[in-house]
Amino acid sequence: MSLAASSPANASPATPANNHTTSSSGGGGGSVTSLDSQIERLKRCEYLRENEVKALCLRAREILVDEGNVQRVDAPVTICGDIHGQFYDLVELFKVGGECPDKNYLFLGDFVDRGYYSVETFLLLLALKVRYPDRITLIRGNHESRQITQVYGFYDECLRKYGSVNVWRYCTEIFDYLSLSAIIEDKIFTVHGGLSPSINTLDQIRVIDRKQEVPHDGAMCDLMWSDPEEIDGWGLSPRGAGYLFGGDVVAMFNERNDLDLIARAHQLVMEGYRSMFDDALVTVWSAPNYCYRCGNVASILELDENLGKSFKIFDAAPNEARGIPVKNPPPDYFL
Amino acid sequence: MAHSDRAVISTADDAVLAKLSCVEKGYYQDAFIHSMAKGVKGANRKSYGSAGGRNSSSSMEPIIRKGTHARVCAVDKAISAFLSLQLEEDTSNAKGRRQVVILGAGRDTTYLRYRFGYQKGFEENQVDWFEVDHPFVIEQKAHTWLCNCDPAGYKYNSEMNVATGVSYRASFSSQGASDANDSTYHLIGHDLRSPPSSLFEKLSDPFHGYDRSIPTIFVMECVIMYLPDEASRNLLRYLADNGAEADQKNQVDSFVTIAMYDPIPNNDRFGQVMLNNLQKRGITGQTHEDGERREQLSLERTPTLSDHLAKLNKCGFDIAVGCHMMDAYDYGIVSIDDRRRAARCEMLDELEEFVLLMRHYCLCVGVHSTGDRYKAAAATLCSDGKDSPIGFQEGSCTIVHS
Repeated sequence: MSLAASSPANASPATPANNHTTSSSGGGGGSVTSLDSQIERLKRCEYLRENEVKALCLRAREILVDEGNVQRVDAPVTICGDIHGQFYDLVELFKVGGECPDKNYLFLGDFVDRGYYSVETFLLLLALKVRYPDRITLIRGNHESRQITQVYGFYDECLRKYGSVNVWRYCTEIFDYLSLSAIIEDKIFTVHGGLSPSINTLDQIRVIDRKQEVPHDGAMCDLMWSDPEEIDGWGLSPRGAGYLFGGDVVAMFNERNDLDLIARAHQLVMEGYRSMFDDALVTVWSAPNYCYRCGNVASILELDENLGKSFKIFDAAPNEARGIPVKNPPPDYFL
Repeated sequence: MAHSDRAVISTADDAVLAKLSCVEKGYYQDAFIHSMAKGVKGANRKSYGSAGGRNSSSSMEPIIRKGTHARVCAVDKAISAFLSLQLEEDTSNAKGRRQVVILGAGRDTTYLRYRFGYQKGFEENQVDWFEVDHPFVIEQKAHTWLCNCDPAGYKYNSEMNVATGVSYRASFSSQGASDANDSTYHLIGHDLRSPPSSLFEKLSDPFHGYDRSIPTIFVMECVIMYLPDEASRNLLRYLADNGAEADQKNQVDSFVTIAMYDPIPNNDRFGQVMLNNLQKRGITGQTHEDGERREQLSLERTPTLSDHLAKLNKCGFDIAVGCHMMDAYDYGIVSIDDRRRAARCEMLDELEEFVLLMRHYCLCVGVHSTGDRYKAAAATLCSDGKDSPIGFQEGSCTIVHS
């Protein structure tokens, strides 16, 4: 039985999407049926036509523009970390965690780059968002950025698959509308990277003007780039952006904001997840065998209606799941 | 040529593309890498073409650039540490000659970088360079790749030696001002899987003039990994012995150093995925493409740093020192200036992956000397701590003695 369907906190899956289709501007087909058929195609790893992407992004924008920088999310919900274009592993994730909208999902960003299928991965998540806005929450990761996607693959992939950069433009414009963080039942704060020395309270996040490219520094950058570390206070990040923050920083932030837990992604964890600072923070990583090279397992964090936690571990999708072998370049090594 | 031979030879293209990508991003300077990469599929591609894959210099991952830079720095450091060693010279070696033998050289540009002053380390010594690779590779290098590299004011020449098969003596002669450089440069066609005795016969041919009484460093960057394990041990034994067995009437003191950069699968999941991915490229695996059983490669049989060091010991290197590349990067083999420079080139988002990747590669240096005169220098080269000329740090490297 689906937990989500029995939860009074959530509206029935079809309602919100219906509301939105009435106000949709069409172009790539605005009805629920055409959206459903697009989702079906995306689930087969087929990418949408350029005009369909444009229309989908327009509709997504109408939804995302109304979300707060600290988007409120109800339990039960399943928290997922980085996906990075590993489409078949996302399909595996839904197999392990239950399909959307049967289950509620919160994705912590880094949908694109590194993997072979950033386009299909992001569009599937975005189509699900448009179809079931209250069932799935997408927040922004540091790779949802014009600059980073030009280095790590999404830009090249769009150019290769569409012959122009238009789809990359539509998608990166949508990135600017993605929320910066989410809060589950007022108790669990979720963000892609971590904390910022210029942020003490959630209200300080709420007032950030997020509709812009990820800046090189400042609060918005830090939320997407920072990492927890076994240090006291703050440290310089070896990544070149964001900060390192210690257990004392987390304890103070959680106390000040009346939080139980910070759930974040951003760092590869070989075991799929890692708890730190006496369970005051957890890293969730959802890209198994990251970059088809790392050999790690992935995890998702399921929260029940009482915020009880359980992790589900999963491995990379077996090759058979990928259907006809596609000629993707093998991952690079130093040879 | 067998499919697996082509697969191994094609890894030279991976290496040169990665180095080209580094140089284009400003990680280090190499005036020749561009010309050397000419003709490699993917070189100079500014964006994805219709056949675009990840294997083009412009679409290399930052993590590959950063690791390749570390590899270049580490191997350079080993070579220059060897070349600057103070040795008690043999009376017959008044010029302080040294020999550098790069095995599986492919499109390597190290000789050119030293020859034209981009790398320091041998101003006082005459250094004779030997590059060894598959005859198919050597022929192209002698006839095409090096021609592309012609620096202004120099004329490239190569002369083939029929007696030793596909082998060449090459030179860049100055067209203008006098050129004091008296180094020599040799290209030897030899399949490293074939008996190493024939390699020494070719090297020692008077046309090339390899001299086993001259202090020598053998360099192998991602080379031994592709050899069948038994062939790799044979080769190492021969290198340590330095042709002494075949030349017993000439008893000379010999000083041999080996520097190797290699992947280490470490018997973990990352390593297993690495072996699987290389199998897809036709490099590893239990069978050849025609179904014939394949011998296990050195890569598969030497999965850890300590396996590498033990193997060097066992094959005749008296002392061997090594560390994984993350330690090489963090603790002094890659200099602080080089690290700063890399950090300025681009930010690296994939930090955890970088650490993981770098821990699966190692730098190993081994020495074998005969006669007392070289004992102290050999020990110095393989030492750790502040006296280590290569930069091995105590606690961040392993030293083994036989």
